[in-house]
Amino acid sequence: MAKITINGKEFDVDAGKNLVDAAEENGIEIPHYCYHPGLSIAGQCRMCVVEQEGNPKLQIACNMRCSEGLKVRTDTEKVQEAVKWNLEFHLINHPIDCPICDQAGECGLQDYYMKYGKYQSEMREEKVLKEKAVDLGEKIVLDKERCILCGRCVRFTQEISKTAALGIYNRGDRSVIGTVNDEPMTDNYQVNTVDICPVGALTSKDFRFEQRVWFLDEVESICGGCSKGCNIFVHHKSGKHIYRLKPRYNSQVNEHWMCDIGRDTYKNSNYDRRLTQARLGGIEMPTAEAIQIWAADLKTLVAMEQTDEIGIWLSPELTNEELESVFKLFAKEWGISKFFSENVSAIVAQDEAIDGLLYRKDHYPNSAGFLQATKTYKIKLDSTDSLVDQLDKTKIRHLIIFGPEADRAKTDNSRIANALTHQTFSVLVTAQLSVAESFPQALGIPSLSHLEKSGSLTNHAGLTQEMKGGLKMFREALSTQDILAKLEEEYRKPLDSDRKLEARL
Amino acid sequence: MKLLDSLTRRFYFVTALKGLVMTGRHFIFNLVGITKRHTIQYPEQRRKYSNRFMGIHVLTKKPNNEIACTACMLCATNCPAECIHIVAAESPNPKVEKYPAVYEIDLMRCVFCGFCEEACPVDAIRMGRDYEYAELSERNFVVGIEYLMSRPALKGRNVSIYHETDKVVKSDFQVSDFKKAS
Ligand code: SF4
Ligand code: SF4
Ligand code: SF4
Ligand code: SF4
Ligand code: FES
Repeated sequence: MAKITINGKEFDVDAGKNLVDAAEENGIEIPHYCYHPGLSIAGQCRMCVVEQEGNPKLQIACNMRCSEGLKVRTDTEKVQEAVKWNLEFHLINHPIDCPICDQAGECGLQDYYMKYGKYQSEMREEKVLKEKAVDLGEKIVLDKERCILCGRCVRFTQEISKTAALGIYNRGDRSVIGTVNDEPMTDNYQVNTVDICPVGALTSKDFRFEQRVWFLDEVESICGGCSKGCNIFVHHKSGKHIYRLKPRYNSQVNEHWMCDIGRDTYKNSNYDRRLTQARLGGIEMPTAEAIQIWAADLKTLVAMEQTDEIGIWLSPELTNEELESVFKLFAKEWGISKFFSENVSAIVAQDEAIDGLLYRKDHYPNSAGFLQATKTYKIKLDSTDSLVDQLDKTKIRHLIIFGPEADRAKTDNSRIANALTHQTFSVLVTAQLSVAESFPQALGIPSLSHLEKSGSLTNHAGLTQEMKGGLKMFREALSTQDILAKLEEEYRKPLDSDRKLEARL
Repeated sequence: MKLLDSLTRRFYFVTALKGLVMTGRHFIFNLVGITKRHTIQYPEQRRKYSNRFMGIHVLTKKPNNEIACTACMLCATNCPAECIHIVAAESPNPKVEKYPAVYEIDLMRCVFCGFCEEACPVDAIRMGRDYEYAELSERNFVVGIEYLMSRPALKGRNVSIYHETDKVVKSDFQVSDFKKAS
């Protein structure tokens, strides 16, 4: 701990902490562009100047560590004057095309200009024109005019993604960001440079012109792209459409970053890829009706004590809570013992970080939690092979599939679908239209997609993280827990024939 | 009391006659033009509205007939009725980055407040002067770029002030000049 004084107020902060961060934690904003807590210090933009006691010259806060007795001021006229003029210099060659810039609304230049700007520009020179809308590969568009040369993106590719793809070329007011020989960027972490670019110089192709950011709302979630479990924000517009995912800081998991494959997973939650209505053999029906059909078939099997003819295939991406309710109902209540899945222990055993950064080989977000849950409920898991085998021998007459969301188990899906005959009644609980289409003969019931779920996931390192949920794209989709509760309720209702029998007695 | 009641009822035609006289008087006075008439011979005759009247919107265009709007969605942000729907896209013209692939205004929801006009940074939307619009179906009140920018009533005069000259436009430009013309 160290005692520091900012603007005459004393604060206790961790010794050695960066002054910009320490001030922000205590509610004092020090404007900055080039400093980013996840990157090295460049001292390039000079926006973060403060006045230090006993030092006649202004100092940059981003290069100052908190130590006992540090006394700085951010509110003197000298500092304010410096920041104002600094910003004016940053804007000398900036095109100010906010109306067509995707960053507008979350742009460092806009925000600081409103707070510290000069408002009356004194520049008379013509602006230096540079290239606009430069293609940097599959994911990113660069606008060289908008760049303020803070160097964050360059440092990111050097220090974090280690591709050294970006660099600053030319000198003086002709300096531009670019790639070597204008080659496209190819790595899996490009869009992080868009996140850290304080202005609209780097923008994401996927989000380009899609929506203005001030229309977006955000909810917190956990990425379902792999077993890393990066913390994310889901940016959506009034719960109707998800536009993008952004990383959320977590020092234990992903720090400030996430990968591009994970970023694309939001598309699976949007309406056009969703199973929106319960269906059986191509005929759509209300979910309640589908659950009635399901319960009736289950009931006859349970009533005839043929529970060993019921099989359940689970995807290792269900949340811990979903698994709990599945095992509680099917294993504990109804004594069903045939559970199938992919070979999860092998997947977990082979799991590793593919490029040494975030993205992992295991593409399921909850494999560890899955194994844990099977242990807790003493479930014996069988492989898909054995399921296919048993289907061939018509040992299973009722198959329930809690489907993978992102079409991840494609080979498994087609194998199971091919083995299904009309002797087996199959139910598919999934959020995904493509998965439902690969099981044309199954009774499809729409469930929540990964980003809408609330519950917990256990990542590769055994860390259990909470997803808050709070997003629901449309009414028909229910959470797995709700579907199972409805199933149980339906199941407890006497059958029509029973009811008639009761009436006669 | 009873007697009075029955009398007035019997002589009701006195009041009726009074009413008739009133109607007749207005009729004759109007006919010979003694009092000012409140109706006009629409559609041969038209009312003269103030220059500041705000009717159906106009999307302006550049001199090359391209739409002036940059799809910044500030009008949609400012619109209290949330009746502007814009889908932005990459412009086919390589010199232009962003343009509205879809720009729709739901005239049924619009309250003609003019906030969209005020919000626009490039004079791409103006409140026009047309006030006559009737349609058979509600759907037809959702008007798109075609109608807002090129309807015949505009006579092609809706060129954005930002593109008429290369110079920066002075702030005392009279948008009403345009309105008079249309
Ligand atoms: S592109 Fe963005 S992050 Fe990179 S130097 Fe320019 S302003 Fe900074
Ligand atoms: S590393 Fe995994 S969890 Fe993180 S963003 Fe990528 S896919 Fe999502
Ligand atoms: S006039 Fe008002 S209500 Fe109508 S579109 Fe413009 S801002 Fe919206
Ligand atoms: S009309 Fe004006 S405010 Fe509306 S999107 Fe177009 S440019 Fe922006
Ligand atoms: S943030 Fe300190 S110099 Fe840029």
